[in-house]
Amino acid sequence: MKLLRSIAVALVSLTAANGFAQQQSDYDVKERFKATYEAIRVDIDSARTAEQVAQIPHRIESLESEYSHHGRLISGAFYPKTFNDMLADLRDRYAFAKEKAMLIQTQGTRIIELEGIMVTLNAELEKLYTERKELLAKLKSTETSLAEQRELVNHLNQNLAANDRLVNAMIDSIFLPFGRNIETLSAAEKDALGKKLEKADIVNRIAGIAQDNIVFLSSTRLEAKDYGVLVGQYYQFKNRWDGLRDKVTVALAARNAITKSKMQGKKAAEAAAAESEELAQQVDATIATWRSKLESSFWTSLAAEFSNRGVRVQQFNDPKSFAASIRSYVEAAKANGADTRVFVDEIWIQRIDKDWKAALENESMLGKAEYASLDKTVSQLHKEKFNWQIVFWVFNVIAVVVVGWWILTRKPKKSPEQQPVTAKTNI
Amino acid sequence: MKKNEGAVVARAAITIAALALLLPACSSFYLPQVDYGWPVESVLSVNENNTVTEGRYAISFNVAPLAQEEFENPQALKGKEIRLLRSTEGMYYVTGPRFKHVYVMVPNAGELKLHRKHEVSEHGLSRPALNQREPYVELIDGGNLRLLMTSDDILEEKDLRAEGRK
Repeated sequence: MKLLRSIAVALVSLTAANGFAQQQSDYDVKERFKATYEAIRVDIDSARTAEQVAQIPHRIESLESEYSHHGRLISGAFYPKTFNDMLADLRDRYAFAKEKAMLIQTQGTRIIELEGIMVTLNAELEKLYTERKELLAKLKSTETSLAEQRELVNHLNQNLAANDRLVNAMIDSIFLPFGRNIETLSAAEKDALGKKLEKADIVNRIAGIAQDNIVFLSSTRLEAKDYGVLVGQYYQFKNRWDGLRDKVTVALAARNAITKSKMQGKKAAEAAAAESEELAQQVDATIATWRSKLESSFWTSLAAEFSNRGVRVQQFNDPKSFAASIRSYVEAAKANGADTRVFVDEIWIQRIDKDWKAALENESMLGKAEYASLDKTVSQLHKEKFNWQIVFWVFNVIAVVVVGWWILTRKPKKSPEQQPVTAKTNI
Repeated sequence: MKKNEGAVVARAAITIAALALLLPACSSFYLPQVDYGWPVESVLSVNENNTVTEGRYAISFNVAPLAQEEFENPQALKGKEIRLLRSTEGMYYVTGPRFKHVYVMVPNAGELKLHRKHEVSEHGLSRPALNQREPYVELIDGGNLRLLMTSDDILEEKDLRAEGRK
């Protein structure tokens, strides 16, 4: 009897439930499902602690059980995603959030320590930035003397180098906990790295260094010996960025993919990668402007060394055309026997070999071997022009020395009466 | 003469037989078992130009004639919502809040033509919704009303009970 009553109650409940289900709007079911799904997804993505993450599985299961009998309707309404796809997506996100929360907890202490370093570095960078602005303003002022300007240029150069060093230290602090190979990191680790890079504003700082150097080059009258340092700094920076570029792009793409919550799967990843790549390309463009500005200033100043002294050489604007220009000048001078004293003595020996050599010997410019080869070419011209004179003078000096020596060391001839009488010996 | 008549009859019989064989090959054909049904109705807002646009199924149309028919004012639906559902047989069912009817529209080249106008409420619907319930389209209005419709008929509670569908 009790059993029969239970069956009757169950049948009535089922009929009522069925009746209620039939009275529902499919549109409302779809909208309610969507709202709950989105709420869970947002909570998963923003979960940071183990406690927050622990609440998620229960909510996914509730969603599944509540809407499983609407599975077909939901699959149709959210085509091409199916009901099962959407639940699988939530579960994947949950697994990722769980891993991320664990990572945050295990690395918590280290991260806090490194964040302390980051704060210090940040403060120092801000100080340098203020100082740099003041220096640039002073440099632009016409009231400073040449000596003062030199002092300012040196100071500004040191400031830029210190800024560069600090940003490098900051980058090292960020990458330290994640090891060298970014590709082997899990999605959660890449996201954590991307978040740190984002927080430290690394990409903008890198672009900022390049930008500051562009401003520096535009507002400074440089001397030949400055270029050695500047060219070295540029290529060092460029190499560092080349090594860092892919790592930063991968980490930021992973970070962006997570934040692009509205798009799903592949599309989000592609969009995030494109966005990070665009950011990296902006840095590339700023560095390219820096290079172009530096090279333009460098080759124009170097060309002025020749033109200011009335020596006409073929135009040059890069290492290759410079080397060709020097060789061509030497060949022409050899052929027509022109007077090359200004070229050799005043320009090559006094200016280029003394003040420009450091920059020209940079491997990204002429390189040591090519500079030595050019130097040899010029010195041959020097030898051919002056060799016989030197030989002549050396010969003369030797002759004078020999004659002098002969005269001074010559023994006067003795007269016969002065000769001592030799004693006869009796044998 | 009789012989000639026989030949004419024979020729005519051959021609008819040939035509009978050839004609079906030239006629058009149909693809059966088409299901036009949308899984869920679309709730569409009427814009300033009196048109609605459904993004997923790429359909848009002007609702001014519908507003004129239902409210005797072609501007009555501006800024309001209508509910649209396509049945499995390809008819568009249109209704909305304050509507007394559900309109069954048949798609033609460049237009939707009224096929049937189901009177569903004496005082107008308050919170209507259309559900796909093959082979019917269901209309509910909060908890007050439940109807199953085809393009030509409405089945009410008693019909449903009779059909054993409740």
